[in-house]
Amino acid sequence: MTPQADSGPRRRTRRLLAVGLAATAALLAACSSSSAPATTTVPPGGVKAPGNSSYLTADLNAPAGALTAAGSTFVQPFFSVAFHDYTAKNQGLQVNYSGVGSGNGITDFEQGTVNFAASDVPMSSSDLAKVPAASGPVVQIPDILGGVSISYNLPGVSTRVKLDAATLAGIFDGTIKTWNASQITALNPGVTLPSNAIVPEVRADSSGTTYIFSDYLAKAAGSAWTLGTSKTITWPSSAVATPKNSGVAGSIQSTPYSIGYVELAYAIQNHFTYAAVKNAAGNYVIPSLATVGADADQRTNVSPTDFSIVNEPGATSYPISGYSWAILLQKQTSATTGAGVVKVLDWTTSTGGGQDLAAALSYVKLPPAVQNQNRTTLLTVTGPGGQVLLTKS
Amino acid sequence: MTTRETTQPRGARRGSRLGLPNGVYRGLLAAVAAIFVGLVAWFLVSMIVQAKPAFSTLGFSWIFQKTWDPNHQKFGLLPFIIGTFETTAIALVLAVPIGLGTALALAYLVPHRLRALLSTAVELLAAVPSVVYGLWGLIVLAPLVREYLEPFLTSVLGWTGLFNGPNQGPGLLLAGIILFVMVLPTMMAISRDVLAVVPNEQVEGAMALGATRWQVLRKVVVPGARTGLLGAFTLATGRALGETVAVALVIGNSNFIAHSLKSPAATLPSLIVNNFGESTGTELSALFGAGLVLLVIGVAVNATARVLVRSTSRAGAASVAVA
Repeated sequence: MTPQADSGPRRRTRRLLAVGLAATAALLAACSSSSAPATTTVPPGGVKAPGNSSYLTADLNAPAGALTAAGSTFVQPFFSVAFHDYTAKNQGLQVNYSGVGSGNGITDFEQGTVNFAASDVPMSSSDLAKVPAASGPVVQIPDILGGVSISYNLPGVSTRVKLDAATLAGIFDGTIKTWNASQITALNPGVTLPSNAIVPEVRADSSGTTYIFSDYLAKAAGSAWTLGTSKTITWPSSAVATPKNSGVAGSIQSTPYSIGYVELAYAIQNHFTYAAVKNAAGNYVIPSLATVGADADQRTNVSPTDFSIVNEPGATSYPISGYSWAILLQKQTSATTGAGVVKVLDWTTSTGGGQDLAAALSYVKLPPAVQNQNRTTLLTVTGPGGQVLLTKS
Repeated sequence: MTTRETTQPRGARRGSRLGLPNGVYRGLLAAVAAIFVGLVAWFLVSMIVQAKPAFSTLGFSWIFQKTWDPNHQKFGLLPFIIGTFETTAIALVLAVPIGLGTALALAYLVPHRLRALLSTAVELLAAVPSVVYGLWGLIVLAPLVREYLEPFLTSVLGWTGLFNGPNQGPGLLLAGIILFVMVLPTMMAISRDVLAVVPNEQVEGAMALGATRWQVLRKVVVPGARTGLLGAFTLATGRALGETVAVALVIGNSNFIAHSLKSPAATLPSLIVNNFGESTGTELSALFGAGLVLLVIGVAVNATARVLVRSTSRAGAASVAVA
């Protein structure tokens, strides 16, 4: 999951574009669903609102120093902007984040060479077992939300293609071979689809995007999906695999009749054509910041061991969505850097702080209830002497 | 500062050279040489240490197994070994005749003014970063290969069975072509240099005996430069075997053994670069094992070329003498 790092002027156009697209997509999504709008389990603003500003003010009084962090490339563009903004507001605390991949970030964290790590999928129990016992328990919190688009290159077809989980499973395991296969035409009445062979485009590298996509297929298509849920899937030999989102995106653009899964921010920024995907409520939903957010709003009580939010109910939920996670030690080895870690992460995962930067970069804000839960978790993080490090002003 | 003053002037330096015992120079040179030997040894040992867990959990046979599936702890390298050889073979089948032909033309046939221009053009190809070749291959070359080259080859050579399946673009053929473009400058530049230093007396002697230009090139120049040409071939092979990013972008990265030159495949380097960032435990160790296998293949190719050079240079010298 790697939206490319961006530069000044491009970022501005991209921001305008993202806002425009988000608005359009929200409208489209609203039109595409016939039933009632999404019900959120938490009211806008959330329970967090009262004490929020006093925490955020204190977050910007972190002790001076430098933090190192490493991991997910998916979250890197967001983190670089958020941490830059944080340092601008809190002179003296620098955060150096390296996008080395979730796996490498976790290894660095296990070896204690970083102050915190970020991963597209939370650390598993076997990962956690490699953290030295002396380090104590590990805390993992969602840091941002993203979606996976089903992008395609279908010359001569201007109507947006609709797909459901069983059909996607058939396309990506190689059993549905042509665009005019009965399974696809049944979902797209009135659309003339060509008889050309489908070229499935997939990720060659291990990726959180692949995890979320395969998790969706496993949960929504059930027994029709046999290739499992993983960051690396053994795809059929008909699939063309390319490294990174940029590779898959390039391959889709240069291959007519291809279809692939691409991280949403990347697809939005590159004007891809993407399919409307059938959600648990039976509606065909177009991926957007709004519809991914609607899916996440349906289930906010996520934890590192129960983190999947694919295929949630709700009329406007886009079903292929997932969180990215920040990883830190519950007992920090230094009160000074520890305070920096919790304050930076609290600020970054809060509305009024880093989350306000998300939409401009085509990421989706964390639901208020998740932000709330993050703060509760961060309040359990202590310094070497057992003192709570997150403070109110 | 003082050392510079004493070493900078010519006379002073010569004086100090005479003044120092020979052993010091010998020692210095030996130390420099030892650094390289040490580096190679250190590199080898650390690769083996990293790959060891894979060998101890999987035995030795895993290298030649067909299935790479980290989710089920299967790390067979056979598809990638085959893919590495296939892409390298395609690249060399194209690069050797074209590179050698260009080199001969540049060294003996093309007028001087054009020679410089052509040489610069080919050498510029060597300066293009490999990721750029990969992107160009994926975005520009892939559609051309899919629309024109693959249908053409299928209709002409379809009977060989090498071109079954759909025309896709990314796959073995495209990867081989990209590698060809990448190794061509190496093949061409080194060949040109070694062809140019074939002694003029031999060339003129052959001409004086009434040999045609073609006969001179074939019987005198090429055999005379044989050792150097094999060196060019070895370097080109090394680059093709080890190229990573460009291949990963255009080969389609399938973990299965390809049934057709048009099918997606993968090589050892592309496997490593695609999986390294996110792998842990046995998988990581297996990737180091893949690196080790690649190293062994590289050394084997190099050694074979050396043996060939040694045997043919004697034969070559003999044939020149006879001619």
